[in-house]
Amino acid sequence: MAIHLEEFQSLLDELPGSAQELLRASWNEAARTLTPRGLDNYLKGAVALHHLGRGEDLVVGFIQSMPELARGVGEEALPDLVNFLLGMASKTSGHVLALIVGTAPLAAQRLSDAGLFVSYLKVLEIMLTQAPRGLRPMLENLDRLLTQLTLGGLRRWVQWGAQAYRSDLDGQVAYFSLQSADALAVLQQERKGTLFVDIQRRLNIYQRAMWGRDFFLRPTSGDYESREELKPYIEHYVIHIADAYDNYKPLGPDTPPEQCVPALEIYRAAVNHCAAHLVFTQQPLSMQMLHPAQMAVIEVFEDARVEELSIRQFPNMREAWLTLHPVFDYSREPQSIGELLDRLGRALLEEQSHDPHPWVREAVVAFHAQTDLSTNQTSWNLGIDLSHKLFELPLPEFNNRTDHRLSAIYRDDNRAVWQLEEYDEAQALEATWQTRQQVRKKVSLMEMVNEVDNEFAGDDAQEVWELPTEYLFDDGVSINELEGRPPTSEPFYYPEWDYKIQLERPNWVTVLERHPPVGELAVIENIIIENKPVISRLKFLIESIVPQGMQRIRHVEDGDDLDINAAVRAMIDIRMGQLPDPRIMMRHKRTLRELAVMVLLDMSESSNDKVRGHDYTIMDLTRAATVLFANALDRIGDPFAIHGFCSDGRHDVHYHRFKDFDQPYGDIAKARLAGMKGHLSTRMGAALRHAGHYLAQQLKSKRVIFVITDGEPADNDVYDPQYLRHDTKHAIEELASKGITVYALSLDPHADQYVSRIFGAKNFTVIDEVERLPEKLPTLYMSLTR
Amino acid sequence: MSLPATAVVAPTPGSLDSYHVTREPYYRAIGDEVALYEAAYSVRMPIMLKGPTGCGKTRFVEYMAWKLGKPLITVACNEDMTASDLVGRFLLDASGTRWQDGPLALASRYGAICYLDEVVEARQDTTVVIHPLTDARRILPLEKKGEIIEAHPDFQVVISYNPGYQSLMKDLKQSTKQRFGALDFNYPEHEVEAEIIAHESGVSMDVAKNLVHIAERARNLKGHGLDEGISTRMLIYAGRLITQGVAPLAACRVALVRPITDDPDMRDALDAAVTTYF
Repeated sequence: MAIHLEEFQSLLDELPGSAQELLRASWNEAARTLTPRGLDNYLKGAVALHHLGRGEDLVVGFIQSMPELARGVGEEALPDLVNFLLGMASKTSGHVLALIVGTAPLAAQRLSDAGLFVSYLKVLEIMLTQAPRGLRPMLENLDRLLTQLTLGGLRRWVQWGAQAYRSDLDGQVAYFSLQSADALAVLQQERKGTLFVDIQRRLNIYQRAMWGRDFFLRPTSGDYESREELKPYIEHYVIHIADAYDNYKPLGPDTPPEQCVPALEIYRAAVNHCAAHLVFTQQPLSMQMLHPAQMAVIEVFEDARVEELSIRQFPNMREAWLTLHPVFDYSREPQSIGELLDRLGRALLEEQSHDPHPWVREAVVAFHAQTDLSTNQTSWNLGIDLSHKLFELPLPEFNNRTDHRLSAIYRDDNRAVWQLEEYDEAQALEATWQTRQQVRKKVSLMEMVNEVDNEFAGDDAQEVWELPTEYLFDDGVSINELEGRPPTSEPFYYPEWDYKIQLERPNWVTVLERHPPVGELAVIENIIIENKPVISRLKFLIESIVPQGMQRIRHVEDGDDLDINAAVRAMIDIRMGQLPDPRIMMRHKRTLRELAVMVLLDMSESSNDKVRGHDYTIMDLTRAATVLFANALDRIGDPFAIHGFCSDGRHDVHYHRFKDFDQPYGDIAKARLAGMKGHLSTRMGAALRHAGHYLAQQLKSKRVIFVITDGEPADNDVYDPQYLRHDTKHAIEELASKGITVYALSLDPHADQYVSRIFGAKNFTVIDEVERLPEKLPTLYMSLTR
Repeated sequence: MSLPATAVVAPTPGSLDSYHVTREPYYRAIGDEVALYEAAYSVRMPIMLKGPTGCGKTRFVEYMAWKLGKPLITVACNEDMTASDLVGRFLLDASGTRWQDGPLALASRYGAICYLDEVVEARQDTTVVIHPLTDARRILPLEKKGEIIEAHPDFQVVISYNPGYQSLMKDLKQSTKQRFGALDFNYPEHEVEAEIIAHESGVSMDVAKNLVHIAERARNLKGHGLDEGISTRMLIYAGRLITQGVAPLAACRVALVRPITDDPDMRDALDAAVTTYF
């Protein structure tokens, strides 16, 4: 699995010395984030930049920041960036290019979408051609700019500055370094409204509450040049919605603030409208034989139909939608069909419409006369009827593109109303989503001899047959001796959470348990001898933990039993005429350590890395920590298990059970720990689900999984860095609902950025001094469970 | 408008008068639960009431106690409750020690319905004291006192629990569960729930229906961020605030949304759901 730098020796030789050195040092990190193809691009990019001859800074910067860029938006952005740099090399200095490379990770982190990152490069291109002097100050302020602006906002801000200071070079610098007043004024004007990412969770909860089911909301990636075209749309049952809305001003820019509709209300109105479409439409309409104007009329009725149906359920939605419809001046005759349709849209939504236009009145009467709104055929009929009368009006012919329609901001573009005519290949491919399950069965010897197709098929065979006895060839050699591999368990299937579709992919990951290899017991004994001082320090801690058992609390007024001594004393007091002490009872208190612990070890390839400055690996440290921890747990008496995992794609997550809850912590468990080896990747979500499956069988009130890991979730078949993070987070939430807490110990010094997002704000510790892990782990456990 | 009619007067030994439910509690039957309970009582079968919080379990027991004319002793169970809290204990007296019957002993001695509310909250070693009372023996041994109480013919045990929110750990033992007949409770149908709210709080039927709509929105979120939906009891509180002249939006905020969640996003979504009705 591991890819070594030496394989790229020919490329490496072309680089300058300092770059080579840096590359060696950062190779481990890069190899972990990038796929082989990505690594190839990475090195070729570095070489290409070196050949530009714009200084070592650029190459060194590139080597340093690219892994981070790939973590932010995926490695596909790498070639885009390199091409951009090569293209721009003739227009600017090496220093500016280095600055672009240096700030790329920051931009990636803020934009967190590969498509947006490419657009960001385009903005830089505009800068370079129109206001090259401003580029450096702008990049220095990039953080502030991207926190306050969407990408579209940034583009408009850049364009404004480039136009205004086309020939005034000092002015350019002042503008782009945010020194001049107008730079700040334009910045203020372009400030993004409410961002979808900030309120996505709220919208999801709201949708769930209102409609009793989940709708999948996605921001439309990319920003729009002009802010008017922010129409939501529905595609494949997913509601796509603009990534930012401003507060809606119904009376134009001069609307007093108290009449503005908050952006959140626009989001709600939009998702409710789209949800209404999805809920109240069974079958999309066919657009065959329809004139565009007819379609437009049908769409207006269809909008009104689904809205009317939802208003019957949620009366106040009418008001919420109505405030987002433009207000019309009824004394004016409509100038185009588009305007007339907008007026109809408003009139149909209003409870009592006052629109005087005869065609609108007729349409409203016809709509309200409908008794059955449950199918969209109603809209079709109404639309056809009224469109004939529409053509008789003295209005210019309807043109779907140019007939500008003001329609309410929250309404979608109604593409989902119509049946898709052409064959959609992507959709067809997505539909083949069945679970592919391998059949495994036990067979008799004769079946095996006569019917097996291929004795040497790989793990991906459609069927795997198992023979409970040895399969011997004629010469007495068993097939296991020739071709044998360690047996695996029956496969366990687990779902995986895909954050993009907001769904669990059912039976997506296969976990196969394997027998852990056995190592030398002496290894474990050595660990215990080496860590003698730590163990004796821990001893005090262990003894201070309250053991399980009954405690008697005396001197209470209200208890379970009479405390005879106290009662006699009280009686004597009474006989002597003194006030007795009423606290003559005692109470029994049961102290329980109702706790079961699972230690889950990440055994991926990266654990073979040497700890900086030492000659032992992370795996050695993890092993030592586990041994000390197991010793401590064994003495405290809490039931515990030690399992480990690594993964090779979603079809093969390796799972090793070193010690189970019902096994003693004896020589077998120790020998298995000694034989522990690291390889492959880290598909953490599936491993957590499997560990949870075992832990859930423990009838204890507190159940904890300790994950010891040295990196974030990753696997060789997943390129999107967010995917497994979200899946792991989801797995942890699922476990929490089963009463299982997951606590992470991360050995990755850069882990702060992601662990809290995955494991929650309180459930992790990042261990900076990796060397102290053996001592840290048991201490941490005891302080957490005290 | 009638308030819950639970007796809370201190017991006087030998008499359970203060435990009688004197006024008829309002209870709107949803199915055949009243008839089933009467049949179960006639053979003194212990009964378990299951259902989410605030759906009318306690009110049902009160109503049945009133209907059958039997005294009702209610015990709210909690984790720190011990067997002595149920059975009784020795107390210090001027003349020495004196035995004080616990609620369970009292009920079995003088013939009352003993209602153990939220019984899973009690530890398992506590709940087992009801075992001899809930099978064919119908006795309560008071080991500390050296007495065996033969249960009064009128005595019956009723327990309630909420299968929804307890963790896997807090479940009843099989041996406890199998001593009881069980009645399932849930939030009533839309119309019926509105009727209950209108009756109990005095709001108009329209307002009551809107309140139920809001509750249904929150019940959609159970398991998706909320541990429990808005109960009928909360809706009645909201209704009472509205009859006191509080604006409906504010009443819903105070009585429905704020109590069930601390999550700002959840609060926001529920507030928005409220505004679609008021």
